[in-house]
Amino acid sequence: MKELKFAFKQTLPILFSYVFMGIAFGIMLVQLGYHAIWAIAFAVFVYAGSLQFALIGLIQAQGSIWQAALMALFINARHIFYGLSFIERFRKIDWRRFYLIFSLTDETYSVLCNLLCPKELDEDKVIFLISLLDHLYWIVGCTLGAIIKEALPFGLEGIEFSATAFFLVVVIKQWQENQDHFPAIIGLISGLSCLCLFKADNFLIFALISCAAFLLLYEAFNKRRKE
Amino acid sequence: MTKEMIYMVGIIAICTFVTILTRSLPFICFSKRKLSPIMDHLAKALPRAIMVILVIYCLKDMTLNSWIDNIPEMISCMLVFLLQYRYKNMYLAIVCGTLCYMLFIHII
Repeated sequence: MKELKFAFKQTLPILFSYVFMGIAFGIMLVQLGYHAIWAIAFAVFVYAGSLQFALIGLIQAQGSIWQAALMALFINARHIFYGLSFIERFRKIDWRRFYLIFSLTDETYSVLCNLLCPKELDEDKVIFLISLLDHLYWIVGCTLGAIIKEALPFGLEGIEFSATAFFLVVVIKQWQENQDHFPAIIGLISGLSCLCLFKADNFLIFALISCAAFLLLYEAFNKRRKE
Repeated sequence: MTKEMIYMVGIIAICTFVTILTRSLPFICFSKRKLSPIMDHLAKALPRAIMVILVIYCLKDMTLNSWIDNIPEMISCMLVFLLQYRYKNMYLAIVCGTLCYMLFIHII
């Protein structure tokens, strides 16, 4: 119970962003003429925000399943870099790690990166509950949107900014907690330069590849210098 | 099953499969092996770089607008930055930043 309370507190910044974006997705899908059950199926099984929004366009144009596969591969390739940091951590977790890997979205990743679990709590359980709660928020959002079918009567536009604010907070926290600012600076440089070089829609994967390459080079160089 | 059902099931199935594939690839690659020291360093350093890139990703559409349309983002991000830097209170920074952004959106 303590774990649930703690996990809920950690996921609060994601709650609003996921529910609201989920609502937007649900509305878009049912407005294409599909039954609400499909929006729920997307939320439960696909569970990938930016991919789902891209799929709306594809479904509208009745694109092929192979196009969808390519789109999924390109948009989600970034996840390859997320898992890297949790290989050792997840190895120690029982069967629940399969669910953790399945549900490692941008938002869950950032919460887990930022996690400082109190000693008296079961950390495996906390990690699992964080992942599960985020997934539930997304399902609730998509379902709500598909059921209400139109925008909320009260103005909640802009609440999705809470995810951006959360990412920014994590960056600032990491900056203050670490002596070595090199990774953050590399992230900034590769992010901004790839945004200039490539279209806004697909800069992300190039930015991740170049920053991982730079960091690897840096580590290799450091190691050689020490030897 | 209708044609529409087959289509939607196909899309959901293939996208679920590809998404799981991308999310599990690093775990599959290193399921038996231990991370080499260099990869271990990379794994520790990457989150700090990725979080910066994710912030840029969230704000990427600013490049499509003129600077005057970006004022809500700029002010709200500044507010989040100042509050978090000064008070180190995540909830305060996020709530104030988001409210500030929403206010801007409604006024403009």
